[in-house]
Amino acid sequence: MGNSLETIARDLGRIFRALSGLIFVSVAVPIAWGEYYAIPPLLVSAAVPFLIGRFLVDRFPGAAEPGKRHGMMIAASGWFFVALFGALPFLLVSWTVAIDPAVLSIPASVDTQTLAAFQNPINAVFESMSGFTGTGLTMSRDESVLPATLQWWRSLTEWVGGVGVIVLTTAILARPGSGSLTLYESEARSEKIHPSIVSTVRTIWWIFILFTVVSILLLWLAGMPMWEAINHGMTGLATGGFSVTDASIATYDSVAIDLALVPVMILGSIAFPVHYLILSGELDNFYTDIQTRWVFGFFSIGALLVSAMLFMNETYASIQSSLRYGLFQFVSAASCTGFQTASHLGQSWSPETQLFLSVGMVVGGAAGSTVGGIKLIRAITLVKGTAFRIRGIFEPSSAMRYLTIDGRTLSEVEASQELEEAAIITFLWVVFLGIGTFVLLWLLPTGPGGFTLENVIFEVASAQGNVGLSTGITGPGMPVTGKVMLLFNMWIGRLEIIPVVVLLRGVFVGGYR
Amino acid sequence: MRLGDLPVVGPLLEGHTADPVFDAFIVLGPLLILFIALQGRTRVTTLLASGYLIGFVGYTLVKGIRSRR
Repeated sequence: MGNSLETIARDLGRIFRALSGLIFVSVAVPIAWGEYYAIPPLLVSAAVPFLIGRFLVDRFPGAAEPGKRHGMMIAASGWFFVALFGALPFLLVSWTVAIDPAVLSIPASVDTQTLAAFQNPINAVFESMSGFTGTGLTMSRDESVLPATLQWWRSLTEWVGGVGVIVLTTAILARPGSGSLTLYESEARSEKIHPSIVSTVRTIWWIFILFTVVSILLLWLAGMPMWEAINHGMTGLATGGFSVTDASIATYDSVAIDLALVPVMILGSIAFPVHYLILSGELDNFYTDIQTRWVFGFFSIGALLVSAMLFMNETYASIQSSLRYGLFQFVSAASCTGFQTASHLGQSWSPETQLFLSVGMVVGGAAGSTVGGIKLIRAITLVKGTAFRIRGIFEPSSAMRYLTIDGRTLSEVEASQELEEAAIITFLWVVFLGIGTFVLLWLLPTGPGGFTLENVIFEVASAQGNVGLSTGITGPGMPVTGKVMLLFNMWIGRLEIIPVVVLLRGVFVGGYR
Repeated sequence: MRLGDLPVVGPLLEGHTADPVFDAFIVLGPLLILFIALQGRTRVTTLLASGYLIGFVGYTLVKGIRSRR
């Protein structure tokens, strides 16, 4: 076996061990809720990645540190396998309930119909991938009747996935050096808080835990029961969007809860280094950091426009209702959270409003936060870079020209490089959005009584942007090929596409060594 | 035994901002949530939760204003 494969295997083993720790810690939930029948499946779910992880780490202890290419392959395959092993709690708990062994004395109150969806492995993997990528699309018909153990596992996958599986692994199994930095950067992160990568990831977790507590208490004070506040606080801050209620946030029909969730989702859309600076006393980063400034500007303008569309299309009768739903749904879409307050979004919202929300989902929030999409900094680079190129045509060729982005002054060559990188990601994003749309249009019923083009674009953009808003396409009844397509869209969207393309090239064309 | 020696969560708790007030918030927060979960919605728990949030926002603002001077 080549050295590169040893490196990939060893680092995957470390990720699996961290995952097994998460599942093991979750055993506290069935104990607290008296769902003792869920303990054996959880322990088995934890044991599988632990044993495989331990084998891989022990087998290749001296493997070399990963380079850029292998870092990307580790990140892409790591997220794939984490989604696979993360599906075990769904699969094993649902099968345990279905088999109903007498020794576990499963209460009759357990809703077997909703759980039955997870007996299908593809549904379990879909739920897990949706959780870890922070998407929030679900295979569950009614989340409110799921056992608390699975409600918690869904929320935990989103909470961990929001920050990153590799960030978690690096924080727990500290390994200073260039290898950790390579992996960190392969997981769609580049910003550092401290010179040391281990200190950086630990500070990210510190901020994330603190904000999670704040979010939970805020939601509880707004009127949510504590268990629901814990779950929605975790998934809201992680901009994931899984809910423990059947109709997402619409269940509460509460202006106070809507307004409490908006700042939680915005917190998740701001980059961690900016949070760190603000907590360190540098409050002016709210407006001096270009991405944070744009988060507020983009969210405000978008929410106003959506509200105006809703009012003019008479989707809602009053300006207040239009503002309430417009603000919440645009922030939920652009922050890539996916909480829903507007019921029947796919049927009752006009096509132009759905497409406008899709734009919000494609752009997303700040790089270095928990959001999906192409990220605001790339949108800014594309806008400014394009204007820079066009302006250049009207200036003498001998003129010294500079482009300023985010306080950095770039030469023409540097500006071209940044514009090229942003354009490649955006191009790939649109290509895979197109492929997903084409596949779903081919699979799903369209025309009168079926799904429309804007429904399908919305659903694929939602999956690839890791948002989770749905026009009603996603569900246990959708064709298997459609589920696989959306699984793929969620996976590539979370890693910003390139690591997955590098992995697929390595596997199918060669070059992984 | 140090916080960092705790399994799984120890290393996460070690990464802090070197600000003892925020460290206190992060240690007290989960305990407060547990207390509220056990006690339910009462006047005392509402007061404690409000106090926590006001304290957190207030301290962040005061720290920011102080650092600008």
